[in-house]
Formats: sequence, C-alpha cells, structure tokens
Amino acid sequence: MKKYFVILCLAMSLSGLMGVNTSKSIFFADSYMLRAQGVEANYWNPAKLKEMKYVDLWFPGVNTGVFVGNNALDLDFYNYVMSRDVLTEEDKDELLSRFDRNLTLQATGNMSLFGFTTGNLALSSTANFYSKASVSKKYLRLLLNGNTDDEYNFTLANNNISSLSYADVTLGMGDLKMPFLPESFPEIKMGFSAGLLIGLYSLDTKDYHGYFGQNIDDGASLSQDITLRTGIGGYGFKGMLGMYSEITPNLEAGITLDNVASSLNWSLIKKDLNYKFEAQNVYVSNIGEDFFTQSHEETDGEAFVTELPPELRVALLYKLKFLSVSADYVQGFKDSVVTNKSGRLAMGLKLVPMKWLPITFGVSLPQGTNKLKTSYGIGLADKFVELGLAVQTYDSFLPGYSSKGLSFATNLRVWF
Amino acid sequence: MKKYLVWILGILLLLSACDLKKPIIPQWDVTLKVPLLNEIYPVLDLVDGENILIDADSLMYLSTTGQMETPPIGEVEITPNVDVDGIPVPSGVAFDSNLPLLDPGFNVRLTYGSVSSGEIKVKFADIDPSVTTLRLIFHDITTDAGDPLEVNFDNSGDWQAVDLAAYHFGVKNSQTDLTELHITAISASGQPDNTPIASMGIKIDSPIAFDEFQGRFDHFMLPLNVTAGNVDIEYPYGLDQAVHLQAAKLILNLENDLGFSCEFVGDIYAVNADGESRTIPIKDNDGNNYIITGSTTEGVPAHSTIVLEDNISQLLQIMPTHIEVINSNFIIDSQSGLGSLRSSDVIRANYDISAPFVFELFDQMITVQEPVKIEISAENRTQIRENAQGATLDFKILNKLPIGAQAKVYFGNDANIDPTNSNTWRFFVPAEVFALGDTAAELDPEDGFQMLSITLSKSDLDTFTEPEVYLRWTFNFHPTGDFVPIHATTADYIHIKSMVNATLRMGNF
Repeated sequence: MKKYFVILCLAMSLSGLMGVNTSKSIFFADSYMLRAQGVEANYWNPAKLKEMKYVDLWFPGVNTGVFVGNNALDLDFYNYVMSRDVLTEEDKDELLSRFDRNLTLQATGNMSLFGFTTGNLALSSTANFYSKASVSKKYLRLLLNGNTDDEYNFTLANNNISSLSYADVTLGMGDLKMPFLPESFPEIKMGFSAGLLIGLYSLDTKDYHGYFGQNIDDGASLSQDITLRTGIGGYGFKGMLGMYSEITPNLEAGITLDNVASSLNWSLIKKDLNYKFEAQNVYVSNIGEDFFTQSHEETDGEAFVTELPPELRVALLYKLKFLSVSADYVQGFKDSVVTNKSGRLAMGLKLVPMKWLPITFGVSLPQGTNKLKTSYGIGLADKFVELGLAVQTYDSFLPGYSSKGLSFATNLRVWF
Repeated sequence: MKKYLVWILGILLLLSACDLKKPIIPQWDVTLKVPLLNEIYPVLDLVDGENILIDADSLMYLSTTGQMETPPIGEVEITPNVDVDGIPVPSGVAFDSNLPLLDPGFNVRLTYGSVSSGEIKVKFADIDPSVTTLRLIFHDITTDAGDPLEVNFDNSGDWQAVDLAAYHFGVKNSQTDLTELHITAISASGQPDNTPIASMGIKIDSPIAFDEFQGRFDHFMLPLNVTAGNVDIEYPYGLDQAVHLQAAKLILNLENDLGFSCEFVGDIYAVNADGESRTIPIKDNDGNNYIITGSTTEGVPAHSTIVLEDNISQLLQIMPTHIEVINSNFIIDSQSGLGSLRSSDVIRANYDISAPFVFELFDQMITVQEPVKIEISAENRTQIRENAQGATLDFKILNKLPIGAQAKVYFGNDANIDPTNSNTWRFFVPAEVFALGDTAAELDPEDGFQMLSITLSKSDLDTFTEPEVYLRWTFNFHPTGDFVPIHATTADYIHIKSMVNATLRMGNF
C-alpha cells in the first residue's frame, strides 16, 4: 500500500496536463475526437451524435478518469535519492536541474453522473475537478543549499495554488448535414452542444509576494503576502461546435471548437483570504515576542469569472476491421486551468484481435509545456456493453520508474 | 473470463513491479547564514549621571559630589578670674567698684555673651543689726529686658549662688572687650552714713557657658565631622583598572555660619581598589592654608570657594575608590578679629571632585557590565546538537573612538560570565579593534567597517544547545603612551555586527 501512496505522491501534478473531457479519452492519450460515440460525443464532437438503433446510457461513477502528477520527479530518481545516505553537491545539483522554475503538483478528475442518447440528441452530466499547486524552485534551493544568496524574491508565477470543481449538464445535437455542398463533396455532419455549468468550488491565488533576505548589515527579513480568492456556488455556460466528414469509406476528418462563449461566474459566496507575515531586520540577539507581524484577513470578494478559453481541435480517423488509427491536433488560444496555448498532437491506435477484446494505445507528443503521454488500455466488448481499464503515463513511454504522472480510467457503456 | 483478467492484471503488474525504495530521506548539508548581532555601544552609555558626566564640550569627566559639615560649634565656656571677699560696705551711700573679669593672657576676650549656664556667688557677712537694705547690682550682667542683676542680702552669712542662665554679659554688638564687671552696693541702716555695716564677697569659680558669644579668640579649634566627608566612587566596567587621568579638580564651596573667619586645616586621603593610598594636604598653590570668610550678618552664612587642582590630580592618579577628608579643623585665631558665634553654628562644605576623561590607557581588561542574552528554542537546540557541523562568525566593527582595543566576546550558559574565570564561559572569540584612523586597520571601503571572520568548532557550537546563551564583551585597550581625550557625543561609539555562517547536516528526522 505504501508503494502506491508513494506513486501518488510523486505523481501529484503535472504542468501542462489539461482537463479530461471523458475518461475514455485516456485510453487514446486524448486522440479521441472522432472515436467518441453516443453520450461521449456531447463532449468531443456533437456532430457525431446520430440516429442509433440503441439508446446509449451512462451510469454514475463508472466512467471515471483520474490524474495525478508532477513536473519534475519520477520513480527512478526517487529510488536514487532514497538509496543515498548523504546527498552530495552533485546530487543536489541533479535534483535542482530537474526543475525548470518550479515544482508543480496537479490532480484532475472527471466522472460521469448520468447520460443518455435519444435520436440525434444527448443529455449528459459530468463532475470535473482540477487542482494545481506550484512552488518556486528557489524554495527547494533554500532547502537543499541553505540561504547562500543574500536575497530571494518569490513571485506569483511560480508560487500559486488553484482548484476548480464544477458539474455540467450538457445537451447536444448532431447529425446535422451541412447544406449547400457541391455533390462532389463528401457529406459533412455538424453538431453542437451546450452545457450549463454549476460551479461547486473555486480557489485561486490572486496575489503573492514573497521575500527572504539576510546580510550582516540589515539582519534577516522575511515577508510573505498571499491573497487567495475563493468562490462557492457559480453558474456558467460551455458550448461546443463540431463537424466531421467521412472523406472516404475508412477515413474520417473532423474539427471542433470547444469552450465557445464559455465561462463560469462565481457570485454566490465570494471570499478573499489574505495572509501576511513580516519580519524586518531581525538579529538573533534582538528576537523578542514581537519581532514579526502576521495577519489573517477574510473579506467579501467581488464576483469573478473563471475563463474557459476556446480550444480548436482537428482530427483524422482511419478505420479497418481489426484496427483503427487516429490523430488529433489541439490548439488552445489562452492559458487557463483547462487550456493552454501549446499545441499538442495525439495519436491513438485501437486493435481488436478478437471481437470481444479491444486493446488501445495512445501517445501525445511533447510540445511546449505538454509532456509526453502514452496510454495503454484494454477492454471487453459485447453486443450491448463495453467496459475497459486504461493507464496513462507521463514523460515516459511505459508506466514505470520514469513516469512523472499517471492517469487511470474506467469505462462502462451500456446500450440497448 | 480468466483470460480477460490476465490482460487487466498485466497493466497493474507494470506498476506493481516497480521497485520502490523505502522513503528514508537522506542527509545533506546546508549553509545557513543567520544575522546574530547588530549593536551600537555608544560612549554615552558610560555616562551614568552620577560619577561619570559630560561637559558642555561633550568631554567626559569623572565627578564626585557630596557635602560635609562641622558639628555645631556648641557653647563657648570661659572661667573668669573673680574671687574677692571682705569688701566693706558703707551705710547710706552707694558703693561702686570694678572687678576684673578675665586675665589679660586669657585666649578668649568677651564683648558680649548670652549665658546658657553658670553661676556667680555672693556673700554678705558682718551685717549690722540695724541694716534694713543691702543689695549688690551687677551692671554688666543683665536680663533680656536690660535690667541688671541684683542680689539682696540674706542673714546666713554664707555664699549664696545666683544662677546666671538667661543673663547677658556685656552689650550686644559692642566693640569693647568686657574686661571688668562694674558693681554697685546699696544699703540702708540705722547707722550714720559711711559707717561700715557689712562686708561682702563675689566669686565665680565655675565655667560660664555662652550659647551666643561675641568677642575675640586667640586660638579656637573646630574639628570637621569626618564621617560626613567620606566618598566612595564606583567606576563602571572596571574603568579604573585601565586608565590614568591627566588632571583633576576639587572644588569646595563652603558656607560659614560663624561670624569669624577661619583657617581651614586638613588633608585628603584616598585609596584605590588595590589598596594603594595617597594623602595630600589641603593648601593653596603657595602652600598656605585656606582662610574661610566669616559671616557678617547674623543668620546669613558667608560663602567661600576653595579650588584644588594640582594636588587633587596627583590624588586621582591612583583612581581612588574611597576618599575622605582627614585631620581637618577650622581654626579661629587672633587674626580672625572680633566676631560672633552661636552654639548651633556650623561650617558646611559642598565638594565637587571632577576629572576630565583625558586618559592615558594601558593594557587592562574592561568588562561590559551587562551580558547579552540569547534564547535558543528547543527546536534549534536539537538542530544544533544533532546537525551543526561547524560555523564561522563574521564580524563587522566600526570603532569611532581614538582608542583601539582587543575585544573578546565570551560565550557561556551562565549569566554571570566572568572572563577571568574559565569555568563561567565555554569559549571566547577575540577580535582586534583598531582605533579611529589607525592605518594598520583593513577597512571595508564602502562603509569603513573592519571585517573579521572566526571559525567555530563543533565543541563551541554545543554552547548553543542550551536554552540560554549569554555573551559578554571585554576590551583590552591598546596602550596609548600619551593622554587622549574621550568625548561622548553621538558620533563616539563602537558598532559591532555579527553573522553566523553555519553548516548544518539536514535530514536527521
């Protein structure tokens, strides 16, 4: 049990990991736009909502994806550090070199609440959770080397904490043919979804300034000033537009624009929490009971909006009888808790060696702040049910010593 | 179904196969820079407002003030040489006579006196039976109302004593010595005039005490109250052990109630902490005793000032811790002339010994009185005990004084750090502090501070594993070989900053 706890702790966060739309996407490392069927199309490409013989059903909790990770450490290095009796200067340098500017811990989760399709319509609901905490590399340097520099400044960019949780109720409509196309053009289907967002809890770092310095002339000075903004109870909207086309009998292409006119407004309970700590020109010889000041202030905050910036996705899917291959390219337009501006290319592979045994593999190539992600999934499929289990690893090809984060996903669909 | 599970378990095995080390955090070394001390030691702190002061030019000086006074002068007693007997008294006529009061060689001459005690004896003998009136009048002995003393005869024939208390001899403020007593005998009898009807005798054979006296003294000695003249001096920081004073001054402001000028005779005795003593006579620069002016108005004392410089400088060279005036008397003699005194009269002396801080310094340890207390938290004590590997102490010192010193800071866990007793401290750190302008000093070009760095051992650091750490400074001045003035302005100070650079072994959790 301790082993898994360590894995989770090490995995606590990964810079650049974006939200999980639905758990099944983890099976393909996010190359899932044209693979989403039934209720899932509500979140990936509503154009693929189409008349089905069966009604697709989601049950609460059974479609769940969870990610924990970090941006620097892996099991291999953990084992190396724990095997050392004393860390040498080289060991400390190696540890510090693994951080760019900060240590970021992140956890996200997505869980289905309910969903069903009827005709070319789908109604579904999911619960989503995002959290991230970053601490500056300078703190780690302080911990490992001591206060060898005269002063240290800490900024919001590398020292922050944020958390967001909300649920959505999304209605989608698809299978809408694009009119006025020349006859020589392949048919293009369009769709859209609109989601009502119900904000549960929001926490973000509104402001942060930190300073620590010491010298023989001025003594030691320390100041920390952090303002956290919290919100409970919010509402919002999330829209998606999508279309796809089966260019050839085995090849599909699609494009979506997610987070159209999307935002989450927090207006029910808003609080700003400010923590201040300050000590100036301290020498050991003059330390008294009042050598520092600290305050904790809680004030009513103003209504605020969590932005959900648009994100463009294009995808291709090539399908054969026992095999399908897909590629998705995603480009966000702004960094946010659910998007980033670094584009990423993901590819997915599904093998069906036996009719009841789907095996999946996915890879998302590293680019910008996005780490390498590889997914491995396996499932069981029958006429009216499909279930599966997948694991996704970060910054390593296989789950193991080099992983800096892990995702787990379960999937269960029932249709009748 | 088992087949399917194999695949699923296979994924998990990828993870569970990971070999994870036990989470035992290794140790590592960190360097901590901790500002320790930033203290300014102004020379002004030496000024205690009691023994060490500053003058208008901010020059420090040693000062001791106090007051001493003579005991009340008391009554002046004289024993007149009056003893006559068998003087015939004629009938019917007034018989006048003058009796010599004092011998010419007596050392006191009276012009006026108020008697507090004493008696005069009168005898009437051989009295004719027909005598009806017989009395003796002393014209120079009067009551407060100015009435002369009268003594009537009795029939005893013996000496009758008359109490003279509250009587006055002579006339107040008279310029003339009372050398004789003028008497008159008056009688009435049945005998013809000029017929002897009795004989009489007058005798003063015991001292007469005057609580108010006017006259002259040939020699009258008034001793000083010695116990009131003792002075104890406490030098801060044991300063007396390290300096020689260049000059000193004793000012005596005297208030003399007596209506006589006096000659002041006496010595000043001083002894220092080492038992070395010196005695100097209180004389002017010509070697003469000082003359104290007498009061010219009753009830208003006369003021005189005595200034001793050369002699007192010699006295203070030994940096005395105790001074007293010995062998001292106020002498009234013939040169004092006509004067007056009352029994309650005293001579008061307000003294002020001052010595500017113009020192010659020599190599002697001075200890700062108050140790600096540092409290070490339990957590830090544990950290130091278990993790401290070594440390260096960096010092920056700015000495604004014209004197240099070897400073030592003693660290210990006892508030009563005694630098001379190694059992009271754990270790000390020496630091050479150069005098202002000393070219031997290597100074930081930016702020003029001297830079020092001292390495501490693990054993030294163990001092900081106790809840309380005390540090106490001592200074051994560099000998100056000459006198240097010490001012106490805000610009005269020693500024010391210190920082610990410690190497700690972390991870002993």
